[in-house]
Amino acid sequence: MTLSPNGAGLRAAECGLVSMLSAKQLSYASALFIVASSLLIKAVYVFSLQDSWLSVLVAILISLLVIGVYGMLGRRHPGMCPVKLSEAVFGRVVGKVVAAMYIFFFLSLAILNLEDAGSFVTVSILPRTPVTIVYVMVIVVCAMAVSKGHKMCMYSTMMVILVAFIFVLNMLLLFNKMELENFLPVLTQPPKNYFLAILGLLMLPLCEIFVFMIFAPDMKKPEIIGSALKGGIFIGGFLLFIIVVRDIAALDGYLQYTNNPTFSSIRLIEIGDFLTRLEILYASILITTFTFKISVCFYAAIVGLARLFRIENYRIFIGIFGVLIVVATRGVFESTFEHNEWKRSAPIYSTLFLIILPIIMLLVSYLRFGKYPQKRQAASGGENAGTDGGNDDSADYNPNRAPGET
Amino acid sequence: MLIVLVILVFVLLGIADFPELISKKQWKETIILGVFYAGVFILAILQVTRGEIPSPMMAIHYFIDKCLHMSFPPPPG
Repeated sequence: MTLSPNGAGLRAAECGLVSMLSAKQLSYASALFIVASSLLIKAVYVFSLQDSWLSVLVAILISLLVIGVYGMLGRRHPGMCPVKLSEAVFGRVVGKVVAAMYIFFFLSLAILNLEDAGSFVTVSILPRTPVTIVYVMVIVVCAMAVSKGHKMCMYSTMMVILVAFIFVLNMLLLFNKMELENFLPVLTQPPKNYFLAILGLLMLPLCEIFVFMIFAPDMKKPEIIGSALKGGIFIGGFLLFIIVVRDIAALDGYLQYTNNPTFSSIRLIEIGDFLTRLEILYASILITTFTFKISVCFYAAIVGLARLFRIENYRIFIGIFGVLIVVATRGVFESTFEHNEWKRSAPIYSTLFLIILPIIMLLVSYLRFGKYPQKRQAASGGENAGTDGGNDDSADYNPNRAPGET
Repeated sequence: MLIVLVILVFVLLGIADFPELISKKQWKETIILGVFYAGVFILAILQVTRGEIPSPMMAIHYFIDKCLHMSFPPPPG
């Protein structure tokens, strides 16, 4: 690193800040996380049909409000992940229960996404491959990514640019199959359908980036985590909007009947006799983004667990939790029927962790610590350290620790 | 055959994880990791022998659908 005249470069290097996450890196990583869920937005098409693009826009706007709550939590308790945040806000006992619930939520996200990735691969690409083989291969890659710690988010910028390029290219190649009339008529569905479509979008792809709060202690400026996540919503939401517009324009009524509209629309690409079967390109992108998403959830679960038990090295959990995720994924649903049934409850399940609990946390934080929690905590920090859940948590943010250590 | 594979995987993982913890006398980490090993081992053996394990997600679905009556309606059509 080049030394600046005032020695700022040296200080940054000394403090280990060079390996910390920037807001921009977190934005791109969360955008990639959102794009990975493009496979799971079928429900939006089912409920709002040709108006799904409107649902996406409204969901993006509402998600910015929800991310605002995460941002306020991040500003009030800078550098605290959901586990430490729960303990700081709710106190030791209730805080640990809430933290355990969040760890279970992150683990369940890893399991459900691995199940989706396995189903996609075995149904669309490798129909004769046993799904367990797919699970094991994906989880091995994820375990390698998780062992790198928060550095796994640092290279997502390049991936987002690549994904955006491929989406735009797909759209251009599908131009001859698109019909503007497919967007008409507008606003013909019952209001309840729009509500369900928007809630589904909010809970499944958009607000799930709450998982990135686990990286708060690894950020250069942890207090601006809300802005970073909003950036992710803008980029990821825009890509999601492109996907939905392309699918509606290309597929029209077929949207309701196909299991994977995005995959089906790319299958339509046919330029001459040579530019066909481009869906494999999309499949590769989807598997890569899915692997990233599972890695982030896997990391959040085991780092959360390590922080809950105050264990320094989270890596001891990688092996056993990798096995747990594979075993649980194999047993989570016995049939496609059960999986489809779960999809009806998934948005409500996520609402608890992504909207209700963060709002309760913010309210309790205001009630317990007032307007300026840091001043309040600093004032009482020396006396109560170790007894109050919030006061020993500044140890969570330690720029001098080795990368990936909790 | 699958049981042997499961035992082999756990033995290999255990060899990779435990000796370092024990040599560093990190007893808290050893106990917590041991508890997780035991739990996951039981789940893996149950799955290999009985072919199924209890799914918490279906229990959550049952609670949301049957007790809270808040799950999404089935897709129209």
